[in-house]
Parts: sequence; structure tokens; C-alpha cells
Amino acid sequence: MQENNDKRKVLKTAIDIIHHINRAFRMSKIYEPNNRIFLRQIKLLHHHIQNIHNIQGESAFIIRQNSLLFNNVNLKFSFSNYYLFKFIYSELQKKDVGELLFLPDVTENELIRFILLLAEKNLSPDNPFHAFLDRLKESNINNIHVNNIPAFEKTENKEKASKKIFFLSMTHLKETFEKQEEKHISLTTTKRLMQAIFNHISDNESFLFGLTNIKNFDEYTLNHSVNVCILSIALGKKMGLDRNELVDLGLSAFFHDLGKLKIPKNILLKPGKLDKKERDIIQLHPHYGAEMLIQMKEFSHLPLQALNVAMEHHTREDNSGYPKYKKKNNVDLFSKIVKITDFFDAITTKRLYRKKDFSREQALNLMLELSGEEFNPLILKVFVNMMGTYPVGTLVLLNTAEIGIVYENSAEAVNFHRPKIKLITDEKGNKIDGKVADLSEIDDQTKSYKRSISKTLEPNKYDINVSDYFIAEAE
Amino acid sequence: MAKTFSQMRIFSSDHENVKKFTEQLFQKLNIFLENYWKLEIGIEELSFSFTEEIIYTDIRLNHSLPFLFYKDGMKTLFFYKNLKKDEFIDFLEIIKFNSSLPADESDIVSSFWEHDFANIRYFAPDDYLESKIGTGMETLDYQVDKAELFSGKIELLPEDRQALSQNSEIVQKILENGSKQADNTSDEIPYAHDEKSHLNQKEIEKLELMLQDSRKISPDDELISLLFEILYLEERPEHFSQTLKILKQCQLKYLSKNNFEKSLEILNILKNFKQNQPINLSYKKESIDEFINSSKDKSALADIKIKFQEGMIQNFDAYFSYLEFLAPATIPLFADLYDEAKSSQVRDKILNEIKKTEKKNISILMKITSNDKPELTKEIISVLGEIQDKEAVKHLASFFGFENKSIQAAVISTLGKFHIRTAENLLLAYLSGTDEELRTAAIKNLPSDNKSILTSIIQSVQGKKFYKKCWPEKKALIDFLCRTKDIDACSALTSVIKKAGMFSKKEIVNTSLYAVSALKKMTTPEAENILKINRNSRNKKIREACRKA
Repeated sequence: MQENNDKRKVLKTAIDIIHHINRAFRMSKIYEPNNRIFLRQIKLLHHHIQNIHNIQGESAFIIRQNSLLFNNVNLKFSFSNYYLFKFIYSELQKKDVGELLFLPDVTENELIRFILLLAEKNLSPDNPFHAFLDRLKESNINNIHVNNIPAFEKTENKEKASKKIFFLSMTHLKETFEKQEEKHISLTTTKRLMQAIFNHISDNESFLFGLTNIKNFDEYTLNHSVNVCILSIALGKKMGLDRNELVDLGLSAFFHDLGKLKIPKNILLKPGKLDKKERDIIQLHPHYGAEMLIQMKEFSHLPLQALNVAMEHHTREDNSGYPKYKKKNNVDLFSKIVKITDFFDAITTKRLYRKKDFSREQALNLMLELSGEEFNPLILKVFVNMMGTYPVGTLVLLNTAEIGIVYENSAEAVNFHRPKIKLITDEKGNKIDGKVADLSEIDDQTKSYKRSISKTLEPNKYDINVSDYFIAEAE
Repeated sequence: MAKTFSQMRIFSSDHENVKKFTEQLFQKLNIFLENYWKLEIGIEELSFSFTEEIIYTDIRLNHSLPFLFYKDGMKTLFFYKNLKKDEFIDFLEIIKFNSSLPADESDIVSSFWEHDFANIRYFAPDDYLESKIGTGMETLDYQVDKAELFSGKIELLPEDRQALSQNSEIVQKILENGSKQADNTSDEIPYAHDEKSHLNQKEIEKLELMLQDSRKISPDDELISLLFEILYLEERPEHFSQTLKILKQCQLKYLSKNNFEKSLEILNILKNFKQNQPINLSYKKESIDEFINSSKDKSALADIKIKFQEGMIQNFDAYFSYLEFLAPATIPLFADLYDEAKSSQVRDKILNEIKKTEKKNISILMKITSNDKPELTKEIISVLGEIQDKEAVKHLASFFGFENKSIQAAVISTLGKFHIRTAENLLLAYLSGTDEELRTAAIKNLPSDNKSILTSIIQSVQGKKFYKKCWPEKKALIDFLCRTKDIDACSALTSVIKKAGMFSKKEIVNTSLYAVSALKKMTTPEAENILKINRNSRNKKIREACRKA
């Protein structure tokens, strides 16, 4: 019991340490190093590090693939502090730092210098770790040690790897669909695929969000199911589900529309509005999907939630929707998650029968209006938070007249309006393979933001396929 | 490691050999890690390597430890300093578990991923998936023409250009008013609060609660609920049957875990389900009947019996409720269960179940009666007593040949509840029996309103053998006469009174005195008259008794 209490204390202190590193990091961008607010954060940081040394004698953060360990214990993050994980993981990864150790004699001054170094840009892109190590030495930081990320933990071209996984997922689903008469799923492979998706979301979430802008590739259901799978895992991660739950969630989302295989194609692909009879037929797909799953040979190894999600992903939060249950009076949590991601992806996909195309931003606004009746309000909030004020893939016009695509959102609320933008034109409108600009960057001279978003643009008005830019990054 | 693994394949994890090898291996590994911080093992198809040199090979595919890792795409395995023993044991258990599965069902990389070891890492690139996915078909992919993508120009539409210029004015104003300076007096960094996406503390707690609640749901219960919903919706006969088969598997799973409560729940829901089906969906009713009947077949019942015999039943109430549902097929089980029952509580429960047997199933119940099972048989007799018809009397008659006295007594007592001629005749038949207790009991249960019975009793009282009977029997006969309040009965009692002379034996006098008291109880005019007459009896005690009466 005592051991558990100590462990909890240590883990809490670890989160506190990251929290203060984060705050100090952000303050360093605004305040001078002698600013008392900044110094207060340093003091608190120092205090927590000393506390840990008193209890455990060491204070070491280690990045393992997709996890963050503190003194060899896996840190778990919930919705409220997920942004801290993203922050420290991202900052250490940029410098290829796999291990960060604070020695007992670390001073407040060393911490100040460390934070300033962490916030520094322009490290050598070829060898960021050694560049960072050199800077640590130059700054006389002797009580903070760093070690390199092991080679195998680094993915050479993360974007390329993510793209590969994306299309492998579609291929896998396609082959599953084609073999559905055999009532067989290669579940070990599917599970492995979900684990890979989880790994990529941990490493490269924004890029995967970018890939979910790919729509109507090959068959709609394939592309849609993979998009829903990615968004669901990301959403579940943000909510605080653990890794094994996320694999189950991914599996469930992956197969949520399996039942559509039983719907006649002429109804499924009808370009116009469906009549009542056709609607009734389409509304059978959740029930058919659940049934197909239970008839699979691998049924006993499927997570139960996969069946629930197949059945319930069109059930509304107010219990209307379809199919109507006779007695069962609860809807699975995973179903509520997939309901949101399913709707979002569907409504942001161009379909012949739909008069209006929704941008991601418009889709989120529509969904917020339906909060409570269509969607679970809490989960929807987390989703909206995750997608950001400007969801990845949004086409934007900057105040500099450059056009860009939202490439990555900040995990921190304070920078929700200031995502990273992949520039696709210069200020004159010439198309370029531009850099990824961070809108939170402040000009040293003017002390104001270098770039800001003027407005969002509609890609189809400019005949732009946003997903192409993400694919291009992967090549 | 390979040696340890071999031991684990043969012995259980708590076997001395396994413990010994594990301990030795862990110690060696620990020493290495203390000195070198990390151990990196390369994985080839049938070999392990260290610093690119092969250090171990096992060419037997089904035994090979390297192959076990290799087949699932692992290239390198890493152990790090600070490796804990329980972490290491978990690692070995995972290997053992995966090696026991068929090759296409095991995936050691997946297992490691799930476990997420802190100090044991591996390298298994995603390329492995390429070998598993899309074999025999074209892998989906999408390329873009970068040259085309990044060449050309985008002309802003007028409305967008306008927005740009409006925005520039705003930015200019901000710049003119002063640069973005921090407020040094503020303790807080300005925080962009967005109502739509910001969760307050209460909402965060609610979210956490939602996650916790979802983890508490029993998957088995949830599956049953879902299966029933599918059944409600399903209108295709073949699919209905298939879903029912899955439900059957669930039920069998519950039974294998001795969860009769849940098993019964399934049957009850199915029963209700069947009752609510429209007539035209007869295939559903037939399928459900088949389901329920399969729960009552010989092998199913034999399994249920074995569970009882082997002491596997935790919840007897649920167990017997389950048997009750499947009645009458389960009725024959009761006799065996009664014998096997180790506690009186359980036997009572069995008897309780017997009491609930429906009239139409009595003939099945009768099959389990036995002279050697008096308690059980008596319970069945009492069930017959509840039925109150000729059929029941016929069954009661079948006990006539039973030797067990308590069974006979129960039969007599039960027959006394019937007001049917056949029952009365059966009771009369007991009067000719050899056992005086049973005869006495039979007399006590005779109805007092049957004339022919009265005649028989009067004959018996007035017969020579009356005074040879035991005292309880004599009393019972006299009490019977008293109950009738009949004139003839009074006469019979008079003859008993008159038997007592001046010097009669005590036994005769006592019998006469008892007859006096019976007449007194009768309170009929005839009885009163007789008492008056006998105030002049030759026997003093009789005289006094009659006067007092």
C-alpha cells in the first residue's frame, strides 16, 4: 500500500516537472530570463526535481517508442494533461533526445539555461542531438545529461511510413471485404495494424490527421473506414484510454461499416436522394455488420466493442437513430466515439447526393449544434479540442497573403489559433513547396506574431486537393 | 534463455527447475546490464546474434526461439539496465504463451506491444505488415506529381482578397498601438478559453467516470444483450439460427463456469421472446424450442448431474431454478441428487423443488419414489395430497407394497385428506394390516360421514378381537365412533360400557370409561340418554363417570 502511494507521488511529481518545464518554456518566449514569473516557474521546477531525488535518488525521463517513462515507470496521461505529453515528447524528439536526466546537484541557473536552450531553434537538422549536446556544454550545464534516441526508435521518414500504413490499412480492409464470404478475418494482422496506427499517431498525429483528408480513394467505404479508425484512436487516446483499449477501439472503428457489404450497391452508391424503402434497407447495415462479425470464425477473439460499434454507430445520444433496441438500454462508449468520427468524416467527404460540401471547420460547428441530441457532449468537446480551431488540412489565407494548409495544431489551448502551416504559395500566389511555418513564432524586432490567419479558404473553389500536399510530404 | 525456455515448455512456471533457470538467467542478465547498460540481440531466422556475430542457432522450426521472434517481424531485442525480475518473468511467460499457440494465431510482437515493458524493447519494423497484407492483390497506393503540385499560381478570389486587405488594416492598427508586450504584473499567462472545446474540471471528472464505468461492464452480459437485440431484428431464418447458435455457445460457456443464474436468464428471455413472436414467424419459435430442448437432452442433463456430484455448485438456488425451468425432463434427476446431497439444506431444496411439480408431471415424479428413499417419497406423497383427485389416489395406492412404515404413515395421512370413495376404501384396507400403529393411523384418518365405514368400525368394536387390540387402537376406534355422532355409534359405545361389570379387569373398565367420555363428547340426545341409563351400572367407576358426564 505504502509502495503504491509512493509510486503515485512520484508519478504526480513527474507530471508536475513536465508541467513546469512547459510553463517555463512558454514564458521564455515572451518574458526575459530575469522576469519574476519565469523565475518562479524555474524555482518550482527545481523544487520538484529535488523532491524526487529525496524520494528516489534519480530523476530521468526516457522516451521509448510512443511512451514516456520517468524513472522507468510508464507515465499515463489523461485528457487534462495530454498536452504535456505531446509537448515534452515533441521537444525531446526534435533534438533526438532519448533520455533526459537531472542530477541531484542541478541548480536553478542551470535550469534557466536549459529551458532557453530547449526553446532555441536552428539546431543542425542533420544532427540535432549533437548540436544540442554541444550547446549544453557551451552553456556549462553540467547537471543535466541527455542521451541520444536509439536508432531503432527513430523512423527515417515518418511521413512516408505513415502514408504506407494508411494505404496498407485500406488494402487490408479491402482484402477482408473480398474474403467476407469465408467468414474469416486475419485478426492477428488487423491487431498489428492497429498497433502500428497507434504508434504513428503517437509519433506523428498531425500528419495522420492530414492523411484523413484523403477521401473517396478506391471505394468510399474503405477510405472512410480507415479515416474513422485513425480519428477514433486519436480521440480515444486524448480521452485517456490505454493502449490496449485503443487497439480494440481501432478494430471496432475499422469494421464499423462491414454491414454495408450486404447492402445492394445500387442503393449504396445512388447519386440521388434515397426513398423510404431504400433508406430502410441502408438502415439495416449496422445490424448486418454486427451479425457478420459474430459469424466470423475469429469471433471469440474479437473485442465485444466491435460488435457494439457495428450495431450502434448510428444510435444518437438521445437514443433515437437506428437500429432501435428492444431492451438494451446502454450504448457502448466506443460506439459514441465512432459515432462522432464517422459523422465527421462522412460529412466532410464530397458525395454526389449531398448539395453542400462541408469543410472541417464547418463540420465541427454543425456537430456542436447537434451536441446532446446527436452526440455525447463531453466526447464531442474532446474531439473539437483535438481537431483544433483550424483542423489539420484546413486551407488558410495568411495576413502575409501566403496560402497554406494547416499542418499541425498546438496541443496547448493558448496557441489553438496559431497552428503550424505548410506554405503552398508565396505572397504573390506562386505555388511553392514551402516550409512549415509556426504561427506562434514572434518576431524578435516587432515582438508581434510573424504570421496570422486572415481567413479560411474553400479548397474546391481553388481546385485544390488538400490531401495531395500530405502525400507529397511522404515522398 | 533458450534453456530456460525449454524448461518452461516442459514444466509449469512454479516448478523448481523453471525457477532455478529463470533465476540464473536473470542474474546473468543483470550483471551484464549493470556493466554495459544495454544488451542488444539481433534476430535472424533461426539464430540470435550479438554484435553481428551468431551466438545461438536452433534449426527446429517448431522449437526454435529465434524463429518465434523472427516469424512475427522482430529484428532486434533490447534489454536495459534497471530490468526488474517480475518484468523479466512476464517476458518469459509471454514467450511461453505464444509458443503454445498455432503459428498463425501467435504474434509475439503484438504481445510485447500490449505489455509495454519499460526495460525490454524490440525493433519490429512495419515492413512485416507488407508481407501479411495484400498478398495476391494490388496494394493500394497513391502518388502525386510534385512538379505539377508546386508549379503555377493561385489567384485569390475577390472576396478572399478583400478579407486580406481588411485584415491588414487591423494588424496595422495593432502595430501602431504598441507591440505585444507581456504584462509583468500578471501571474498568469493569458489563456485562450474556448467554451466549445474547453472542458472544465467537473467535465473532466465526468469524462474520467465515463471511462471507468465503461471498464466495469461485463463483456459476457453485454454480449447476451446484444445477441438478443440482433435476434429481435433478424427476419432471415438462416441468420436467426446462426445467431441462436452463438447464443447457445454463450449459454454453454456460462454452464461450463457453473453460472446457472445467467444460463437461466438466457432461457427465460428466450421463452418470453418466443411468446412475443407473431404467428407468421414460426421458424423463430421452432428454433427457440430447439434451443431449449437441447438444454434438456441426455448429455446436457448428465453434465448438470456431474457438476452436482463433483461439488461444483456454488449457488444452489440458481441451480435448482435452472432445473425447475427444464422440468419435467429434470425431475428424474432429483432422486439421484437427493442421494448425492451432502447437506440437509440441499436436500431440503430438492424437496422444495419436488413440491413445485405440476400435476401433469406426477407420473414422472412417481418414477423416482422408492422404499429406500423415504424422505423423498414422502415429499412426493405430499404433492399427491395437494392434487386431490382420483389419479392421485391411484398413485397413492401404488405405495401399498412399500415396507417403509413412515412412507405408509404418510400415505395414510394423505389419504385422509381425500374425500373420495377410493381413498376411503384404501384406508379401510389398512385396518386389515398387521401393523397396529398403521391401523391406528388409518382409523384416525377415516371420514366420519361414511355409513359403510361406520358399520365396519362398529363390527370391529363389537367383535371378539376388540379387547385384544392395543390401547391406542381401541381409543382410535372409540374416537371414530364419537366423531360420527351416529345413533348406531352410540349403541356400539353402549355395548362397550356394558362390558364393565363389578369385578371386570382394569383394561375393560378403562375401555368402558373411555367410551363414557366419548359419549360425553358426542353431546347428542342419544348419547345423553345412554349416560343417564348407565348411571346405574354395576361397575362403580362407570356409575360415577356417567353421573359426572
